[in-house]
Amino acid sequence: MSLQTSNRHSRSRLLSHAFAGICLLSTLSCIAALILLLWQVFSHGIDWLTWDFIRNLPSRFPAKAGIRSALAGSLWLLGLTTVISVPIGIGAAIYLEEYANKNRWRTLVQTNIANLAGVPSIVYGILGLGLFVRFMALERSILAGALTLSLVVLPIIILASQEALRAVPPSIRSASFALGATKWQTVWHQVLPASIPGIMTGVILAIARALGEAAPLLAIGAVAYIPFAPSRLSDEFTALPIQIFNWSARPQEDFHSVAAAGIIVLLGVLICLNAIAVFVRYRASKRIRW
Amino acid sequence: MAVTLAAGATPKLTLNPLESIQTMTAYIVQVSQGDTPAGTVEYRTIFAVGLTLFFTTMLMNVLAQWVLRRTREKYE
Repeated sequence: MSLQTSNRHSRSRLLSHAFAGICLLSTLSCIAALILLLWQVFSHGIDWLTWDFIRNLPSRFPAKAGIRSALAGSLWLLGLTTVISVPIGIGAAIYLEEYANKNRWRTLVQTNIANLAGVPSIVYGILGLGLFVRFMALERSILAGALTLSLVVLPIIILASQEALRAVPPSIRSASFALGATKWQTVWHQVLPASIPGIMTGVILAIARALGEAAPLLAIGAVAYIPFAPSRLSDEFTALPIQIFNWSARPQEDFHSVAAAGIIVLLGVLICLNAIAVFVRYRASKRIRW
Repeated sequence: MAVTLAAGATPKLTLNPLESIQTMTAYIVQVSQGDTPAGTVEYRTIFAVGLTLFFTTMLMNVLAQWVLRRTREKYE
């Protein structure tokens, strides 16, 4: 080997190492940001996270402030949003993937849904304000909030479900048709069960996003100070992100720690959600045998 | 809203990235929180701002899809 080629080799190896190093650095910076975030939240909030904090209603005094109404509001929203958006979302995905002819109209709808998934959630907030709160006169109720959040998560659920349906091999459908099954039987007994794990993942990601949204709820007029836990669909409500936003915007130092404790509660709910998702996905994927 | 906590809520036209500013999102929240009655100018501006946001994202989405269509390779 001449000197020149060996030189070139060592240079390209150096370049390759440098590139790997840069990629590693990017990964580490993500992890570092996460660790920094968690450390900051926990070091501030863990002392304030008591049983009383979960049970108490919001208060002017940091020591008495609790998260009960926000937690109840978030759980209400979570349940209602799921009930409203999941059936519609999966239905739309099934129609677009299994039934709709691949023509211009479908392309138009598809482009629109992809676009809607990227629209800032505040836009849905003012849509909710105009449509649900004012036009349908639902006022600032849990129902108006859940409907608005459903609009936010619908495109995400549709896109994820479509992806999951597309991942089912076409041979499964052909085999089902060959055995004399109708379209409905094929979708219901073959395609849908096979795509449930993927759909579930998408749904959970979407619901987790709904749980963290504050902007659209603030736009429809949800306020932070609700001195009772909501019990009916028409009740006023607050939610965890709104409460946290409100606390951290206050000047008193103690309220920032209270906000940190609220964030821990929010993270706890999120982790529970993800655990359920992993469990359901595991159960569902065990049943598929091709 | 996360951005509002960090970037502030001062409506100011500046090119200096170190100054506090206000995002379109924050403006909509600020107006709609103030309990503005329907039909007033303030109430209608948030719809205009929302429309601007919507068209901005739509433009970026269409652009992204155009790039995707041009660069994606088909394997089958």
